[in-house]
Amino acid sequence: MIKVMKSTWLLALALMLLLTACSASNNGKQGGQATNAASSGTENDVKPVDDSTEQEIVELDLFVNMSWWPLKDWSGKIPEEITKKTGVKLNIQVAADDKQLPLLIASGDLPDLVYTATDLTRMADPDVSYPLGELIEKYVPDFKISQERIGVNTMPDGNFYTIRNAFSTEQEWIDNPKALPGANGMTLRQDIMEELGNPELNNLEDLISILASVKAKYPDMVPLVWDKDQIGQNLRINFGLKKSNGFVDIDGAARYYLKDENYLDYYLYMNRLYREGYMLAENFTFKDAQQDDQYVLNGQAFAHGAGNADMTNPQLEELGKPFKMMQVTKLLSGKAGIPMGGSGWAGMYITKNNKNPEAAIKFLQYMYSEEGQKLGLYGIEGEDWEWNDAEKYPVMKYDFNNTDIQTQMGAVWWGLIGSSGVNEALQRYNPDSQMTQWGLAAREALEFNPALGLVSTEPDTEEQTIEAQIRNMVTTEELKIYMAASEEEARAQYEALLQKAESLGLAKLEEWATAKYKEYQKNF
Amino acid sequence: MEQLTEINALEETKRLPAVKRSIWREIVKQKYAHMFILTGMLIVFVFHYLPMFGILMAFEDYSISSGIKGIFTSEWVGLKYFKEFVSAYNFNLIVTNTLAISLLKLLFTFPMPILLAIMFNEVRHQLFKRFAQTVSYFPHFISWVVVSGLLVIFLSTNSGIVNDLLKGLGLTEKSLPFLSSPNYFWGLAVTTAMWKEAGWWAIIFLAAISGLNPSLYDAAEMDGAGRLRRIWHITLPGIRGTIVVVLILAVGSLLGGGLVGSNFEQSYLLGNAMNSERSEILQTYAFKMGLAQGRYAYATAIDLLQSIIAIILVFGSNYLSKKITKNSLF
Repeated sequence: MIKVMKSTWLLALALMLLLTACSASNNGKQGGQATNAASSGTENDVKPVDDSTEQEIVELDLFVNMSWWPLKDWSGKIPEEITKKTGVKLNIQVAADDKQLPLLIASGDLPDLVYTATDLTRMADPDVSYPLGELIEKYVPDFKISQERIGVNTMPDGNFYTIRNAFSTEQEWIDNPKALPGANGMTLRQDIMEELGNPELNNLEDLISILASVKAKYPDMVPLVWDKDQIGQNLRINFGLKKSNGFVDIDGAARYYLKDENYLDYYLYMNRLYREGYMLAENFTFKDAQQDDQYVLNGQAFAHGAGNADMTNPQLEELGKPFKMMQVTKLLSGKAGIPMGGSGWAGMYITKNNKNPEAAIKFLQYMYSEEGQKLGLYGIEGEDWEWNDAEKYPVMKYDFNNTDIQTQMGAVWWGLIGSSGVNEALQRYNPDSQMTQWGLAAREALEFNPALGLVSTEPDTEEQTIEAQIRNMVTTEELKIYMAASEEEARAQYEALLQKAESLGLAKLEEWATAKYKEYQKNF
Repeated sequence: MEQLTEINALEETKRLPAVKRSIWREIVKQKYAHMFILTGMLIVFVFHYLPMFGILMAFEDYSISSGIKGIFTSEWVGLKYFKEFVSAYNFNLIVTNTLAISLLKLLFTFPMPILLAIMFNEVRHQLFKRFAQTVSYFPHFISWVVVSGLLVIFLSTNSGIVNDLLKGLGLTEKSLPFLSSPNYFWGLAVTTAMWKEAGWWAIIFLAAISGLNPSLYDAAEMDGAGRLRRIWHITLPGIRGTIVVVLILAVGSLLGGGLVGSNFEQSYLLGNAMNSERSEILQTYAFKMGLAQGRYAYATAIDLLQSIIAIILVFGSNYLSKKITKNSLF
């Protein structure tokens, strides 16, 4: 009995201590708030207007579904300016990996806003997100969106849940000759090129012979290193391939991208790069998007697939490296092409958990406006950039490619919430930059086919299951082509890949895609 | 008042048979201990039994957008997902990898802690014994994420310390593609798991050894038994019970990697497109299908299949052990 009494007392004592601690911390918080109130009270006397706007600020939580997103919080002068204009402040949560969003959707724990380029159709569900049309009608009837943009974002249920960025019509591209597509580039070590006597680089064969000379002269060097998410992309452009998913038009029908007649050539070229020792097998095991950059910055690599000389060179200078990278500013093949199909890249969704849909749609209205786009992408007009009226492009007053400056200002990235393809493309134009030369070359290769880009599978449908299974299979089986010991084996592996895709139901998928393609073609 | 309670108690005792009465009395007497057990049972119920209704998904055309309610309202499709998995082009590969990695781990990592515990037990220098033991179980506390990060750096073909060492010693001419060649994955999985967990599991066997009567050793020594004979005739039979229980547990969790676990972590973190031929296992496949592609029903079916195999393994090994060694878990 005494023992029981003792333990009860002890438990009570522990509870009391805990409660005292809690209330102490509460007091602390209250104290803090009181001090804040007092200090803003002082400011109140000086600037009463500011205080009143501060009170109206709505805080919304935004989940950015891109683990590589460089801006981790809503700080810097541009987000501050956006908050000033819209009264909305965002609390940013950047995805840890690509599995987080599906989990958030499944558990129903979505924050107020989601910005994503994947799982779009999952987000576009009336149980998950608000249809934008509904919110516009209710809160901002003056919010006008062009019919093309609504068209490409409309879901089978007749609603549109977002307006994706990066979309522009062919006419918009024609009207803006300084708009440069974000084409995947390639950079080379300038000093080594000079040592090799600046050999000609006009086609893909030239590239191979340069890599061969590098390998012979610098056997310890990796001739070509790729960004883990962009393996082969620059070459896909040069081979005129649709990036790495979706469908291509073959004789008027929508066929899976792997059936493009140039795909085999691309695979054989990549296989040759591997067989002749110009790229590492280990490149395919990179888990970190910075691993390739390290090779380049440490001087271990000669060519950098997906490299951007304007971004790498300042980093090399900072590290005190005695060399620079130069951009390949030409298309290396007559086949080159960049498909501009589709409906854009990423979109902002106002979820059903949003605590203030009115503020959210007003925020989106601003971000979609010309003013909002340019503020988000370029910065404050007059201070950070000025419009060159004669040539129609923004002239930046800061080092636009410097990631540190971008992060500090909060520039570029938040503009993508609502920017159009050409507004994004215009910011890339800088007459002095190497990437601009490459961008101008790549512009020549743009191929428009919006109807084809719209063909994409819906979640929880048989077609999506087939496509997902094929994609899953391709990620591993494709490597067998890249790593084949001979050209014959690579060819055989390509055939085997197509056969496996067929066994997973490719014919059915293509039949569905062709029907959709024909349907969409009527709109264009 | 006292009289009244006495009468009530008397009536109650009349109503209950003698055995039940004594059980009830025992329970009341041990009510605090029972409260602890009840809390534990509640946790098991809430977190292990309650979520089991999710298994229904494996037999339904379930979509995550229908939420938890959808688990009960989705259309019934029977064994559709099981059939789909079994006929998947990589089914054989995934099952072979899962079984091979698991069996290899059982084969190599199960005897290791026993061996280590016996070795520790034979060390006479106390300070060294304690030091070696601490060093051996320390890796257990490093997470697989960190371990795999270290492995990626150490095993890199280009600048990894392991390849530099092998080349420096003249053991190989070219760097060995530890991470990019499928041929190395199984070996890598087994050795790293052994390194990480052998010391930890040795603690259990050491505890069992320390429970043995020292006079047995003295007697054996008097009879002229050497060190190996003492290990063979006293230590090993003395800890046989522990070995059997741990073995049954290891076989039960065989598909997860047995004693050392970590099949999923290793395949997920060290696996890549290059070695997926040997590194893709049931768990990573279910993870990819379920979470990345959002096909929860299909992933549930794959996991359910694995759970069924695990249950068969537990009951099977328990039955065999009962027959052969007379020791069993239940």
